[in-house]
Amino acid sequence: MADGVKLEQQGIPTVTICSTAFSAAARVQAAARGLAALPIVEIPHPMHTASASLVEQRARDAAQTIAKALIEGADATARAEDAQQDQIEIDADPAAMQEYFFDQGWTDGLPVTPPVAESVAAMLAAAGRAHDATIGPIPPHMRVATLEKLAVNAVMAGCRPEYFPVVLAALEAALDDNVRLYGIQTATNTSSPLIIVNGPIVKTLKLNARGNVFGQGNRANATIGRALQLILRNIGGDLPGETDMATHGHAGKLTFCIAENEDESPWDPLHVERGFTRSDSTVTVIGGSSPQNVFTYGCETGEEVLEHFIGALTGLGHNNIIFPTGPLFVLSPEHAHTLARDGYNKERIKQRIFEKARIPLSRFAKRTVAGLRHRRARWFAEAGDAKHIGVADRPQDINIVVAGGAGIHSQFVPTSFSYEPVTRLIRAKE
Amino acid sequence: MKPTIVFNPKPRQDIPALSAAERPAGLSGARVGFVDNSKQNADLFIGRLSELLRDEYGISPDVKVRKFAPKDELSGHELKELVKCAAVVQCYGD
Repeated sequence: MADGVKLEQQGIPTVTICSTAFSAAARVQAAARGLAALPIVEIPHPMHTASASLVEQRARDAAQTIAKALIEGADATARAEDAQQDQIEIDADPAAMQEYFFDQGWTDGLPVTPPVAESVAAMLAAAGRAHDATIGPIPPHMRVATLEKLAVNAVMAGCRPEYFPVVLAALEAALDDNVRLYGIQTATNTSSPLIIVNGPIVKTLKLNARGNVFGQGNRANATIGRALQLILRNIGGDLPGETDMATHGHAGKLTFCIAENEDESPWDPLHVERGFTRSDSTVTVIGGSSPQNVFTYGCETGEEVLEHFIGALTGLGHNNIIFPTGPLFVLSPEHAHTLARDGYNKERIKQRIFEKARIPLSRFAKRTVAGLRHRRARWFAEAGDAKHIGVADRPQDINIVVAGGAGIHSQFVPTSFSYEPVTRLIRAKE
Repeated sequence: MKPTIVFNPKPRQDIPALSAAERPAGLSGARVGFVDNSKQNADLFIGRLSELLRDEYGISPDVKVRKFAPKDELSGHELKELVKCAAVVQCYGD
């Protein structure tokens, strides 16, 4: 939609073609960018699996409507949202309050902490930056957030005030162009911004970097990740079925925040690899799908463990086949130490994955290969392997983090949309 | 129970309303650009559509842009080429 709006603003009449399943979302997104009258022509859904003859038929069926829309444009039909007050008086009964929040569409489906004046003030006081600061625009509605609105969402997520600088840094990282947040939020894919926290702040805030790191039970992980999601919902306007068209979504769309287990890693942590020092506290954000467990039952050596990683990466259908974003591996400390003991550092692991995690093109349908040659053009131009598709265009596109507890499990996190992970310093209040 | 004040987590809607571009009187002879967002079959659809618009409405099919990924935004260079056209068809959201 952004391109259509941009072209119309430069005086070029456009028509945007959408299948029926996504036309409503397209209209909402166009209106969010100020152009509710962006001409959109619907064609039947689905198009991806349609045969060549059906695609041609649909082009014939739509040609007249498209020509008409180019000449006549479209009426603005999008519904404008009602402006609301910044502060609202409601019934203080706890159950009634929660019902009010649900009715307003302010929550992610779970109850929230009521955003009352004292809590919002405490959050703002911990921000570590000027109260008139703004962050944004936040897609898909491209709204700019005041610090107060961000604080309200952090309160609702259940954050302690000292978590707020982490939330702000995560939001800033997510909004970097390299993360491609608009794509993450609006696509049918399951992607969600994954937050990885590094540095001394992990211990200060008692973030979980150990057992069950992707799971439940830690307030800092759960609420920092949830705060980012509530901000994307309430300020960005990221609404399932309206702008968020995920076919399935995943649990990481409620909260998706881990910390690196730097104490149990044999290697430099992620933020040091990315140019920061160990004493810096940072967040790194990348578009990630549900982690896939790699269970190395019976493996003893680093070589055997790595073979399992490569096996997990060479199945069909995961995001790192189609997207040039390299995969993320979240290694358990046991796996990291087994690999380190057997002579592997991060660079060697990445190099091995780059060289071995390749899938013969003969396993794919002809149409898929044609698509890969376009979408993974850098692979075909640079990797020197015309018969396979790799899971990363270059070894350095693969990312490795050590986190989790005891056990012979690691996580392959398929990544998508992001051109690369983005790391930001956490500016904690002094 | 006594009322209480809560803060609204949503910002006020403050998006300035934009107008669409002025439309052409007709398409005969108009240079029309096409944007293929690289979704499956978008290239086929655009290929057939551009022929139909040429044969039945007299357009002159012009620059065709194919994105690397559907959610990529047009580059500055691509935009520069497209604004030379009289109209643009972009395809598609599925």
